[in-house]
Amino acid sequence: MGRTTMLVLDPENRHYDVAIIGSGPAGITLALSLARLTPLRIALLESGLLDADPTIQALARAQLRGDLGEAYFPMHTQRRFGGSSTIWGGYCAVLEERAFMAGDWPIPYSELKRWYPAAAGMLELPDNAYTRPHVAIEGTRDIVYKPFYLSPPVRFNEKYGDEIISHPRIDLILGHTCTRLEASGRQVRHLLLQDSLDTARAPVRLRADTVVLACGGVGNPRLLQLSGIGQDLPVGVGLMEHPHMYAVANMYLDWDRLQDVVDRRANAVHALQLADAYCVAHDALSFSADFNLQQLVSEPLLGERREALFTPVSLRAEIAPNPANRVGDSDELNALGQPLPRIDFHYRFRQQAHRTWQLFADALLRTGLGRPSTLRPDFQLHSGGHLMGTTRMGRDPRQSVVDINARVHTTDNLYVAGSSVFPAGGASNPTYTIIALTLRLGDHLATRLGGNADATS
Amino acid sequence: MRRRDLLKGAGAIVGLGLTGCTPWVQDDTAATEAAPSLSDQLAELADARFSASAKGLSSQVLFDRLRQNGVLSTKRGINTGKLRSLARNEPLIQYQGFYYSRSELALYNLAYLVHRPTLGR
Ligand SMILES: Cc1cc2nc3c(=O)[nH]c(=O)nc-3n(C[C@H](O)[C@H](O)[C@H](O)COP(=O)(O)OP(=O)(O)OC[C@H]3O[C@@H](n4cnc5c(N)ncnc54)[C@H](O)[C@@H]3O)c2cc1C
Repeated sequence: MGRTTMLVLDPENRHYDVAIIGSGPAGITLALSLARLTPLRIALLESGLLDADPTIQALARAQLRGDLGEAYFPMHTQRRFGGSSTIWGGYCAVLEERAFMAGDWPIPYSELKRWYPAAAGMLELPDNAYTRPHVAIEGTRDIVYKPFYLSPPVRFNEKYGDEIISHPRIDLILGHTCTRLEASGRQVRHLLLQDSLDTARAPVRLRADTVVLACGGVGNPRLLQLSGIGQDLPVGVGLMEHPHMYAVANMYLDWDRLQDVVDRRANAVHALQLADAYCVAHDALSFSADFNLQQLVSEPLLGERREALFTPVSLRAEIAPNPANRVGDSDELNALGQPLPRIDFHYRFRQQAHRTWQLFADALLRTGLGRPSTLRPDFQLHSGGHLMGTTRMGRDPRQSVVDINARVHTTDNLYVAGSSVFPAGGASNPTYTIIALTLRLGDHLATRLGGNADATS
Repeated sequence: MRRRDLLKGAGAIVGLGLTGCTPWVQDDTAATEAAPSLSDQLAELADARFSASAKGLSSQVLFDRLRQNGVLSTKRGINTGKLRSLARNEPLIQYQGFYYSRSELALYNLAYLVHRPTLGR
């Protein structure tokens, strides 16, 4: 049996093949994947405890400049076993192919797509989430139906806690915050761990052959910055969120053309999206327009009176990475004596929202699929708790932090899991893709580190 | 009764020429057979929300324009394919907070002028 502990006993003599820092969906998925595929010894390190603790939660504070208000982190971060899956909403959809077609991602879409079935299993999503992620609508190639399926939602601590805790080759080390990675040359040699509650206790040093950061969209770049790793890489640069705009417009939709397409039995939010090819052709980013099925009315559409859905529209959109949106040092210290992250973030989105809505409105109206209203002029942007892009994946170290296998460009035994590696965030909630990419990383590490599919305890 | 049926009823009245405001319905040689069909189609589309956009417009002028660009014919009624293909290139118009293509709005204005429904949506 592995150990679940809040004390790291005899750490200098403790050696792990892989240390995973952070036990949110990414960290737990990777630990399970490696444990199932390999005979490796794994440490899963978590700053928080099994339950929420306000003192530890305060370690997640950040200085915010711009559009993410004071309430952002209290609302969107959980420092505990399971990470933010303890509070997430469970909305899941595959990442749009647009960004891959446009060359924003350095890997082909097929590399991601092949992991969606297994990721759906982990999140308890129906098969349609990957077999029918979007559906063509008769009479238009410009717009597709794209449902957002609902995970129950899976709480990773509850669903996978027993397996992690009882696994003989996984040590779960709780209540310890990794404050620094000590590297020399192209290798991380040690991890410095600080007791998250007893800050007077001397830090302990842990050794692992391979280290994976799974600390979330702010935690990942932050640990690199605090460790002085990748100083010539754009660490923390290009933070992305998903602007959510609730009930910002209305639309009529031709029900005859939609009723065979809409997955009415699924536990899903229904949405329309501009098709990937249309976005690429018009140099537009992805976005989705949610609709509901509540109100059927009669509406003239392109010269015929049709039975139509009349629905408010909520939008979830992609924004481009902007170097001014970034994570860096603030002038305030946390309880562990480390500078809090300073997060500069502005949506810079209004113009884009109007243009994208105009494109969508055009496509909807000109194909007779529906009639959109104008966008509410005073629309508000809300955030989604989706932090992406701060350790971008790419081939060029001037433009990215990790390579196509999620390894930090400058450091041979250091990897990153989570949405911080997304070079483009699409319009879909990120967790389904985080899990898919993490399974891909697990497969890569298993192969690289001598994996053995028949690994036994 | 469904609103759509109400409008159909109104269309039948126009088809019989009782409103006296639609001479073009009858000025075609095949009008006796074809006019009710176009009139019915217009009746289906007629909607009180277009009273403001139709204000001051002439049904004759609208009809001529729509006939010239192939959207309407007294024999074949509304050519929705033509309307769709025109919509691809026409500027979008905003009316009462919703988007319309130009010919589409002209058609609904015409339908309103011909049938003058009083029911809103
Ligand atoms: C309210 C809310 C609703 C959401 N709804 C959805 C949704 O509907 N659909 C969707 O796809 N996504 C949703 N999300 C986002 C989703 O929760 C995240 O995408 C997901 O949790 C990210 O997983 P992760 O493992 O990368 O990071 P996290 O879940 O953030 O986990 C990171 C872990 O690392 C630990 N950690 C951080 N720093 C250190 C350190 N230095 N040392 C040790 N441990 C550390 C943290 O304590 C935490 O446990 C939502 C998020 C919130 C907050």
